[in-house]
Amino acid sequence: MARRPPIRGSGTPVREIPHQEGVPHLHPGGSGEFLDRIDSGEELLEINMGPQHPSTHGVLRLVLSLDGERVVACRPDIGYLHTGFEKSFESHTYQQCIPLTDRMDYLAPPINNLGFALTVEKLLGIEIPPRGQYIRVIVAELSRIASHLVWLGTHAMDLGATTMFMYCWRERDRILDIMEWISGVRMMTSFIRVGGLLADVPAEFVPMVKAFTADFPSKVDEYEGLLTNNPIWRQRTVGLGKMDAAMALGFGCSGATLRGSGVPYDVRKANPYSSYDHFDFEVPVGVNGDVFDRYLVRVREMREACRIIDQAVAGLPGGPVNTSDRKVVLPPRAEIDNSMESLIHHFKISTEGFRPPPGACYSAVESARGELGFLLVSDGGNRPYRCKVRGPSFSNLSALSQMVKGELVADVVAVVGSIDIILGDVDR
Amino acid sequence: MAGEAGASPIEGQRAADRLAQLFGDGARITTYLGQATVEVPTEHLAKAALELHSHSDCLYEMPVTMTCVDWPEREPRFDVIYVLRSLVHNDLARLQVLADEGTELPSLSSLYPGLEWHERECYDLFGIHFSDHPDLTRILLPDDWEGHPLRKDYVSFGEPVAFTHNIEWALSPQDRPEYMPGAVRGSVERP
Repeated sequence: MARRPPIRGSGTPVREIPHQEGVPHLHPGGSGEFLDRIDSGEELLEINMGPQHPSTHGVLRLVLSLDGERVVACRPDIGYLHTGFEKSFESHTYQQCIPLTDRMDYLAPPINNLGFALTVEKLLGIEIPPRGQYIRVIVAELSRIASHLVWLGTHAMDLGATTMFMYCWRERDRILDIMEWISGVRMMTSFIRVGGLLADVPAEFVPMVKAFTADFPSKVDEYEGLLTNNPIWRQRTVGLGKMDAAMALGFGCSGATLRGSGVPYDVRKANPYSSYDHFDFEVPVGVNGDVFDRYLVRVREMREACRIIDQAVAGLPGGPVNTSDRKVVLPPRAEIDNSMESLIHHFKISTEGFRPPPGACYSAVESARGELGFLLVSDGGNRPYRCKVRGPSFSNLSALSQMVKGELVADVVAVVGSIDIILGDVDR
Repeated sequence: MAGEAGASPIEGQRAADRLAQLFGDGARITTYLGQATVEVPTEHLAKAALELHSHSDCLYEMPVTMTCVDWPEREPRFDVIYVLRSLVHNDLARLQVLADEGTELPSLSSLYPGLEWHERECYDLFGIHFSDHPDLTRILLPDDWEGHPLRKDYVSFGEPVAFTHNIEWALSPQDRPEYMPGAVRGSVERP
């Protein structure tokens, strides 16, 4: 592996602020160092953390083996939120699957809609008009910010910074207001559909988004003012839960969990979809791969998402938002009155949906947690023959048992928080 | 990335070329929608994966996902698909093997630690067995669950309810579907 060429892509290191001198680090060696000191003759204590533990962000059960305060082994037990989405997909038409995707990663539903819609559109061989693509980007980035805000609020609250939760909820509520305005629903929007969107956005959408992005960066400054240079925050996070790039890759980690370890992999840059190549944004990467770096990466990502939204709103093209393929998207109501063809299409789509040609394809989007992929197999029918969802949290969580080895039991919540799992995404 | 040198127009072309070179006709390559899938015989799976992981032309180091597709009418009935990503070459490979209910595939979890959980999921939901897996137990469903729900012959909804029109079907043990959540096969006596 010595000849290994560097990974393509341009990552921007997040560490511009040097570590403060004089702040003692609780984790001088990172993971692994303390394992050598563990006396193998000692009796280990096995404890159960979860599934009802508030810091496991859902229903995650961790079986921890402890030597004193140190974690020797950790075995995550998942499946408490298993809903059988992949089986349900097989008995719903493609368009009916969209609400199911909402409920997997329930903090950023539009990105799930987008991933599924893009995969089906790839199977169908259609591309939606530029206005639809731009609105998709705006909605996806807004929900990325909303998801990161929930992560930041709960992660900080786990570590004792209770105030953060209130501030993050304040901004998230404004995003949910925008979602409600465009789709009628605050969380499970199902706004992005196969072949386009639920509807074009109302006139108030652009001013609302502009008002949000105008002062959101100053709010991020506030969060960073509370946390980034806070000695307590640093003591709890710097050097904790370290993971190097090779390990993160081996476990298939993605998103900020991978980028925190210094790998500049972002699906939006590597394989741009939905016009992401039109926008100028940076991919922040960490240096040490610890909890603090993953925090910095996500905070910077919120700023970058804000930049993308600004560019997309400024360049928002006119025109339709849905594909003109009448076999996929319902015709406009007025057309049905005049055209027999449209009436037939309306009837066919409403009763049986559309039928992509037989074949399989995989496509991925960058969700708030990492690479969200759909492997879709069509047998030519109007329902997916098989739909495998590659939930980013599933792979990210599988690295947890290595990350917490040798850490203090009180720090397990910090590490779990830093990989930002959504159990709906893990268990599906 | 648009205009990037070295990015192949077909996703997975590197993997296809390399495995075709290695196994000749043993590797069956199908391309659909710009994505290549390489199907190799089961006995070559471990070697193919090692090649894709470590050869400098490939370096598919990131296990993206792994899954299974059930075709009950076909023999052997399962497609087991590995999706691997190379960040160095910005490429995605799909490696596929065929498996049957009795087939035991080699576990790739020592090469790709991330596949350990995916293999457990495949075992849990499809009943595919992996040799040398460190901990092949159910991952999403409870340990005492019967059957493998993502198989096509597993009934997804409902339990047998006896009405006058279907009392024979609902209560006769031999006519029940093979997997029925919540019901032990043959436990209900015909009236």
